[in-house]
Amino acid sequence: MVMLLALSLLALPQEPASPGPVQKKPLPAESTYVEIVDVPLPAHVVLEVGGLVQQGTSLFVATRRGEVWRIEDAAAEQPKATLWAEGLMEPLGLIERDGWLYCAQRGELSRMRDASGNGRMDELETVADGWPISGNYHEYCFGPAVAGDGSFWLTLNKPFGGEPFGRAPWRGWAIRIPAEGGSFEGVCAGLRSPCGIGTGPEGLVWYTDNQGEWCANSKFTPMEVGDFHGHPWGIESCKLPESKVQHPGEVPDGLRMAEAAKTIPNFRLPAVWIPYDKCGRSPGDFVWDTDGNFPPFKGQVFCGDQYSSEVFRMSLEKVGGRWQGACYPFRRGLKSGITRVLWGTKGTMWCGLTNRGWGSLGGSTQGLQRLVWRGVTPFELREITATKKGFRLAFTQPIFAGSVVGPSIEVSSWTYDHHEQYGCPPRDTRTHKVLSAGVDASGMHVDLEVDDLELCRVYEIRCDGVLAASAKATLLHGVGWYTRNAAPK
Amino acid sequence: MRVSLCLVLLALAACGDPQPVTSTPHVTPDIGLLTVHEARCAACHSLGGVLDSELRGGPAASLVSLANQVDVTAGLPDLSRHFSGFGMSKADASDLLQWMGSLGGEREPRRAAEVSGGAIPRGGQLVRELACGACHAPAELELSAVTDHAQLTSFLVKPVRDGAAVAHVPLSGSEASAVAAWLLREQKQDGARGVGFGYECFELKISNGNWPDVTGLEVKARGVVDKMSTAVATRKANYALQFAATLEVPAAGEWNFATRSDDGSWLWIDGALVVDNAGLKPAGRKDGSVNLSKGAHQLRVAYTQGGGGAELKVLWAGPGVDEQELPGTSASTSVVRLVPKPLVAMVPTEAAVARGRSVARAARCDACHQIKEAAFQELPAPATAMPWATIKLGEGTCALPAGPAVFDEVGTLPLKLEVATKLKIALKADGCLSCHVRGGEGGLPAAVRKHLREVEDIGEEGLVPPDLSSVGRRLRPAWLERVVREGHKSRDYVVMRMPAYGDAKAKQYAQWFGAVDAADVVDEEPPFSAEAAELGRTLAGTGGRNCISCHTMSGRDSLGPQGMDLALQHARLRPGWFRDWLLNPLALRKNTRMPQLWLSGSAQDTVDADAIRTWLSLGESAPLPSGLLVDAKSLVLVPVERPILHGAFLKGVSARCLAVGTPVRTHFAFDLVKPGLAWIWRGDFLDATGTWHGRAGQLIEPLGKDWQVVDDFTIEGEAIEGNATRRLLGQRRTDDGYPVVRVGCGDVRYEDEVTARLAANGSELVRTIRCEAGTLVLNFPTASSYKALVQGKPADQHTLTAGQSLEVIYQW
Repeated sequence: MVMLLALSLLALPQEPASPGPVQKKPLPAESTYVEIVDVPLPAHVVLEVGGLVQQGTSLFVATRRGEVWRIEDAAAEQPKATLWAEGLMEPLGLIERDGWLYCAQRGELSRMRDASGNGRMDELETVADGWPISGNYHEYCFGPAVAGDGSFWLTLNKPFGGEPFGRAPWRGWAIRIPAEGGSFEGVCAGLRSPCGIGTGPEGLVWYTDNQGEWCANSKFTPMEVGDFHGHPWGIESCKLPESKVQHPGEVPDGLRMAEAAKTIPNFRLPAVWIPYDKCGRSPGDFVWDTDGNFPPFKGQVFCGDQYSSEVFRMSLEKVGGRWQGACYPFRRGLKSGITRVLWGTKGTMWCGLTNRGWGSLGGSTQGLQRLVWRGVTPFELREITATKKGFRLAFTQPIFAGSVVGPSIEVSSWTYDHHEQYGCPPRDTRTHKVLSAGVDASGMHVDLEVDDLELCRVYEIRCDGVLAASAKATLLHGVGWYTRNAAPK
Repeated sequence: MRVSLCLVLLALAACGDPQPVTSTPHVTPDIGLLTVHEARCAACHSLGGVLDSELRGGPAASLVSLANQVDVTAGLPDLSRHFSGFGMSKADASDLLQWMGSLGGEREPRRAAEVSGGAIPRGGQLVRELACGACHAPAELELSAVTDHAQLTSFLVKPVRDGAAVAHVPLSGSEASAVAAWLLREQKQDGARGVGFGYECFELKISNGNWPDVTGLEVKARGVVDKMSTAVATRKANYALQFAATLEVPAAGEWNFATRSDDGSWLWIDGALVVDNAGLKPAGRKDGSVNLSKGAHQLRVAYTQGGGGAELKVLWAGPGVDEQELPGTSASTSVVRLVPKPLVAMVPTEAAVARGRSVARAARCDACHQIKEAAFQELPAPATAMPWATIKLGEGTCALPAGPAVFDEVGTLPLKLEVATKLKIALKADGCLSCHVRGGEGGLPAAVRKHLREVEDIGEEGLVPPDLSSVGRRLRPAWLERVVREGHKSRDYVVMRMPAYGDAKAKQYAQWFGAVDAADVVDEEPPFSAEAAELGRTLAGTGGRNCISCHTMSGRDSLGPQGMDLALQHARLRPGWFRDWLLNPLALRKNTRMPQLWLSGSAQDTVDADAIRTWLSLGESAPLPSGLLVDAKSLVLVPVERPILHGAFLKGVSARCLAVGTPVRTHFAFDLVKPGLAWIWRGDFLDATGTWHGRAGQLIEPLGKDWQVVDDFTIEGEAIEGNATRRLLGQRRTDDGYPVVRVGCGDVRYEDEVTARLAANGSELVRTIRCEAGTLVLNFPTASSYKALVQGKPADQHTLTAGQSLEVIYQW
């Protein structure tokens, strides 16, 4: 049982002479906990990263230039890069299976290997194709991700601008190819720019999408067969025999998100809204930390951002049969936009970089960097979960109960409109009263009772004032954003 | 009527003012003949036989066009110095001019013009560096009294005399404007100083990272702006911008300039390159510092845009100035007004005109000048001119000086001119020897030469036009023809320019040089073999004799001075000379920088030289030698050791294609949607900018020459939809890095492999189609622009069963 040490926020009329409950200390730095290590490579090795696979000491890097580089000892001071394959069409994904490297090219799912063992790819099989390309640059094809049943999933961007070879079907779709190859099925519609695609521990395929038209805000969400994710660009393909998605009809422009979820057939709300400019701008690839590479956050999801050159994390829980959760800052300051992330050796993560065509923070246009866990646990807001009347905050270290007072925890919320306009600023923004905030007996959790709760909203929880029990340390990042689509009963 | 007034001097010179013959150092009969030719003696006095036509020369300027240039205010030409007017009284000469004045039509009024303040000094620099003074006397280079800026500029760009183009040094519109401003410098009146940067925009294909040759290009837009940027461009891709201004530097000290550009940019201060931000590349910054005094400095900025993103920013920082975009307020484009005196035409009196007409008739003006006036034709013809043999040089009306300086024996002209003599006369008459030396004659006067500018530090060869001695033995006739016809210049490192003389002169010179220099030369090309070509390539590279340390190759920079492009040399040089030149250059040209690389004197030397010749016989499709610098930042793909494979959207083919560039510089592309051969071409491979730059997604076209779109075979029984469509099964890659495309069509499976190999007259492609399953019936369409050969015959219908293969050779 949780012992609530209830402290009414309203019952704080007179504090002693101290200037406030929060004694500001020098801000802890992310670099104290996570180091960014560059992979030094010669100028002719241009890694505009589209896919990463680790095989022993070799790192295979698929690039947007249609190449696959094999980098020996990528974590060493002098890694050795050799060109393993070339002539592919913008491969934006790479996985290993049965001795083959699988990648999505713009127009096909392919698998490759070096059968002769001479250090160069010499066999390339077309596993599946048949989704046309109009010739528009933005018709990227991401993947594959392998679902629990062994099938391959790809996500197909929608075009922006000219389509010199004619309008192509299936744009803005997720497609599925059976494990043994062959013809594809259209499994989810309504995607916009789904750069991140990966498989969760349960075998469910997830994706990230980037804010834009018909995508009010960047998001992270699982894909289930038949889902419609909101973008109407490719919905005419619902009428093709390969479609597993019911045509959603004309998509109304400007519905509040809760209304859209109710009225648009099979409309899927994201598990996590990733608030634009608060937590990156354009999410890319993600990985689950099932092995505890970054130990305090074992089980959580780490995601790179293509614009802000940061890695943020997400926590998930199933509420009412559906996944939902929150996102949190983790590590900023990489040198270019992050499109691909991959676990390396224990405690390390590869970050594949490129910003060509959109620009990003950081001084470089491409490359490869590595995050290295320094073995020190930061004082962090580890996880936000939903409770019936509010939220439970979990921290990585015991907290100083005395700091859970006054304005040290602030809750606000907003929702979005589902509309054609590019992105949506927060709508119906509210500041919530924290009715009670109780620290449990372990000292690791705070339970919040929050006024005026509503579903289908994003809750920003700021707890900058919460201090650690040990040395009264301040939080490394005192914020998280929880997407509350459902509430526990 | 548009008339180019500077013709007055040029035309009168051409029609025979007496040249200071006595100062000619080489007194030979040929020079005597040249004088006869220049004086047009044969126009009136019959020399006998073919000499009349051979020494007569071309038509002189029409009197109408000359009359149109007579300007009373500018003073009248002194016709008493004209050959046919020799001995004419001043009164007669004046009447003659009045009559000429009556022939002129309505004249274009002279107008004032505004040019940038930098134009006059730039024009002067061009006149000096292009050695205009080699042909034009100082008086001809000061035309303020006779024309205006607009008319002179258009004449300099495309000089026309009596409706016919005149051989001239090629100038771009902006260069001509600058040169014209300098030629009219006496008309200068200070105009307002405009604030900002003067600019010019040119439209042209930007295919590499260098500053392009904008010579002769039309200026699409010009004006003055307060900020240097791409905003003034007239289109989105393939253009060049040039900015110029006088920069007011506020304080002495070290100044840092920077450009940030996509694609290339360059910045000069007072003519010195300070920022070199060259390249076909994404936006990137380059800096350069220079010590400047306080006050005015000449600024020039150039910029190129190929395709994709476009950006130009110019920054400066220095004493008291934090880094900032170079502001227009710091620059002035001073505007100079060039104001000509108004043209005042003669108002001839009728009586004077009638007298002048009679003077002209008697002086036989019509023997050289075309005169269409009816009244002139009605006058009685003068008596027959004195026979040649009775003429006493320098006596009577004869302007030719007497004595052995002209002829060894007056009156004993040869009956027929030797080709060598004709050639000598022509070389002198066409002004070739004003710049070139041949057989020790001719060449630039020291006063002109001292102003020439060196681009590459390669001594004499980098400064002056080439010596023409033995040029007929050196250059292939077609190349010689091209040089004379188009003014083609192979030496990029010589600043001076070759005039274009047109087709007739080109053919004449090619023939005469060949006859005089190479009558006894039997040239044979070494027989082609792929092995020899490969040996040649190896010898040219860094592991061999290292030709590329000084020579460019197919437009790619050498490792040192940028000597003549090797890829042109097979088409340019005759085989015998080529071999001799490689083996013993100093014997052919004293003081050449070409080193003697073969010293053994063994038979292998000749084998080597011929191997290089064989390699270069492939021209721009010759495989590139190893060690040649390939700009790693450039997105132009250059296969050197292995093929380069590039997946791309190909224009007119599909959005799923594989282009293959080979070291043999013979390239091809597969369509992977309906798998088959789509394109074949030679030379440069392709520019990946469309696929790899910015957002990319541009449709790609080949860079190289002789691009052929392949009309590929159809498969018997194939369908557009369903199971019987042609579909991609995958690819193999050979050990050499070539792709093998694997295709299915119904029950048929086959492999399609293309490789390139060297062959005489350019390389060829070898396509092997291997049937793996089913029966493959291929129907090849009749090819037109290229040959698809199976066992030497055009491919038509071919049936393959599993295990069988078909070899198709593509030649074009």
